[in-house]
Amino acid sequence: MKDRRILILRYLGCAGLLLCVYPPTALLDALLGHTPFYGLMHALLLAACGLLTFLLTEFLRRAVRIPVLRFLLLAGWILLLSALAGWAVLRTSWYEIALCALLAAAICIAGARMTSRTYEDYATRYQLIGIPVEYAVGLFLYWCLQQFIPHPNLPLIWVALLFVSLALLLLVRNQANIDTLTASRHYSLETLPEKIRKRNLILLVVIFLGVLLLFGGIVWAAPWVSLAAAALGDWLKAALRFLFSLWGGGDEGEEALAESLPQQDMGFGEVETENEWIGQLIQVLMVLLIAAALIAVLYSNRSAIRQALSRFFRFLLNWLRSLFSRLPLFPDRDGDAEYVDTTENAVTTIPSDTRHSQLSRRIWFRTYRRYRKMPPSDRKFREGFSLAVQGCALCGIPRLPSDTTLDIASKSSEVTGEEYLSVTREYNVLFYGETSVPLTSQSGLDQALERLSSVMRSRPHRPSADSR
Amino acid sequence: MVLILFLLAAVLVAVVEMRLYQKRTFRNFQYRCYFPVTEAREGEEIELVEELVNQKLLPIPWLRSDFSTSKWLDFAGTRSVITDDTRYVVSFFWMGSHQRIIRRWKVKCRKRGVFTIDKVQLMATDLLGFCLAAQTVETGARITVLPAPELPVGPEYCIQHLIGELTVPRHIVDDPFTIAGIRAYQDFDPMNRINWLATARAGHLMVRECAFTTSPSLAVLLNLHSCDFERDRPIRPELVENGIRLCAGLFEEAGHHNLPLEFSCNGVLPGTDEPVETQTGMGPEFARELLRLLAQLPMPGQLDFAAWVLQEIPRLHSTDLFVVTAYLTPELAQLAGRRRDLTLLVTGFPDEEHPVPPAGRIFFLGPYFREKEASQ
Repeated sequence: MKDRRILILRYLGCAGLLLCVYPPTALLDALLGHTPFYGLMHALLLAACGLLTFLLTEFLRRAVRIPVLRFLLLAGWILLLSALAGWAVLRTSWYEIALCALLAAAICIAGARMTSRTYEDYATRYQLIGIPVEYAVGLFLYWCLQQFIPHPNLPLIWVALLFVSLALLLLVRNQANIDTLTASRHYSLETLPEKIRKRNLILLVVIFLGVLLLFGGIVWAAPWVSLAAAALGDWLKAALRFLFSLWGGGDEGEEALAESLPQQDMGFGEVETENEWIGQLIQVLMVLLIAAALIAVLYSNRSAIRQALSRFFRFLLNWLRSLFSRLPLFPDRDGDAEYVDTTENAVTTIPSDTRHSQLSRRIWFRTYRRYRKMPPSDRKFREGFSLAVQGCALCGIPRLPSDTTLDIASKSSEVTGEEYLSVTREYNVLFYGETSVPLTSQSGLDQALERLSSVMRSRPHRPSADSR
Repeated sequence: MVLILFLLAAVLVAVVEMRLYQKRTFRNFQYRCYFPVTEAREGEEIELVEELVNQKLLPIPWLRSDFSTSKWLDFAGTRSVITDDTRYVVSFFWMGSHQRIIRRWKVKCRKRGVFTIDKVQLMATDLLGFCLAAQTVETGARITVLPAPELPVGPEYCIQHLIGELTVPRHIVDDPFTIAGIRAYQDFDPMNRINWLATARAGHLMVRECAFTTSPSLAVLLNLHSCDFERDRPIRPELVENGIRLCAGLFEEAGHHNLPLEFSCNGVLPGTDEPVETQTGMGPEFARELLRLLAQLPMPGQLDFAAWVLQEIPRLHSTDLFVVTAYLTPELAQLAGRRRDLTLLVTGFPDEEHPVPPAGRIFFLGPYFREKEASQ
């Protein structure tokens, strides 16, 4: 099973590398005056010849043990396949045949030489960078020649071949990466769980689809974006001109308004005033005014905007989490009996509307600063206690809806300190008995809050899953 | 233009993927490695749990955890490498988004000892191997494997008499329930000791003579050398391990019968300078404490056993004295001949080249353990 997998990966890697023959063949065909489709067929044929040579050499290496005989057979194969490639791309003139035969021979020799390499060598980092660079350079040279042979489908062919080549090499690199990292410390590859490979492949396919979608989106959206940008620019210019004409007054404004339609020429050169520099200054001022107004509106509604954005992102995250929680889990038990895997969903929903969720760390610290300025009183104690409970939730201390204040205090004693428990008892007395708070409890609460604030400063933000 | 856009999209995806995995692989990620139990018996099968939680959207396509522990915790046969006394275990994971994986290894405790897994090295990579993220996690997993108790049974091994009371020549007060005989009345005898039947038969006052008894108590001395002149490493550790198992068996038996018990050995615990000596105690809990002590004993011992025993024995006041050793020396044989309360348990075989003259209670348990191993 392992041998078969590695053999398949070797073929795939070899095919991916051999597809880099396309830029030279396309250039050659462009020089000889053929269409890009001819170059594509030529490249595919050459790649197939190289792959066939690889396959035959592989069989020969396994079958024949005598080096001299192996060399002779190999040379015979290479000559035969070179002739086949040369014949297949038969041209009209002798020098074309010679050029194609030379290229075919080079590809066949490269294919034969690839058999001596492990499949990890097919997709090194340099090759992954080198192939796109080769395609880009080839395309640039082709673009120089394209002045003579323009063709509408050319970019699609280049992109398709580059995508296939890269996809094959990335697939090989992914599997080679798993094997390389797994094989250290004399670790047997046979023991690697198969599901890791399968899931890696699934993830890789998802990324390929992502690249395609992103690329397709860019290609599809590019004209629309440019059109929208142009229209926006026109409307902006028209609005400025209209404002400027209002400033100038009278007929000029009407003319400017009429001229400000997007279908017409939007050049400012036609608007002539007696004092042109004043007009330009006013224009700049108007732009600044609009920008300032926009900023003022945004700034005055910043909290609403922030909350709306926060709600949106929270909704998005929750939706994604619920989506992942609904995904089917993989089987619990692995293939062998040395261990048992249990897989569970660990989705924690971010609460949306409760008070705790809205209480961010920033707001907590702001409230804490206000608390410290308050004079000692029962109200301060109540505020401080509420702040401590919210701080515990922000520190990620787990909490159940059924937890009492004493439960919360015992759970958070590591963060708030031991004296927080006695403070909580005092709070309970205050809450139910309406007595006044002793000074010792107030100082204990102050210490607990100070500890909480220092912990929150040192830790990253991680709200409790059960803080609802 | 299209090709440039495609190249841009590909490069963008590759860079974003690499940066994401470089920065966020171990964010919102938790790893725990622990034993669900703190103690186990030798030969018992327990679990070692690896718990991983990935609380983020980004999946981890390849995660490897490396840790090392003692080779005497037998698990992950095909997934571990053993060098000397250490077992390197490698574990692989694929973690999806918001997923928790709990891996339970089946661990067989092959030998007594205190075994830990202090650190676990985590290594993760992105899909294409462009970046490698590593993290070391302090786990502090610890388990104490107690020795399996072993006590030979059968007529040839008369060491299971650890119950009842023992008659001794002299004690503080005599035992009114144990009658040693009848004798003539003397002036200092109390009246309630007069045996009227015997008086009637003898014609003058006769009294019951009560014996002195005491409860049996046990002292166990263990030799941690497997042969004479041992320095850094034990030459035949299996013999000492068998001796430790014997001690465990004696402790369990004594704990079961609530016998007073004390233990000494010529070894030194890590971090101390004095040889191991316990106070006298009794009951199953004390026996359990002694088993924990046995689990920690390092091999070989630090002191010469024969000299140490001769120095140690006068200190002990137990009624039964068990000396557990892997080999027999002439000094020990002489000691066994001199003291009737001493039982010598030898886990090895009799030396046929230099035979020691049989004297006292000496049991060679080598054949017993060999038969037991053969039967397993």
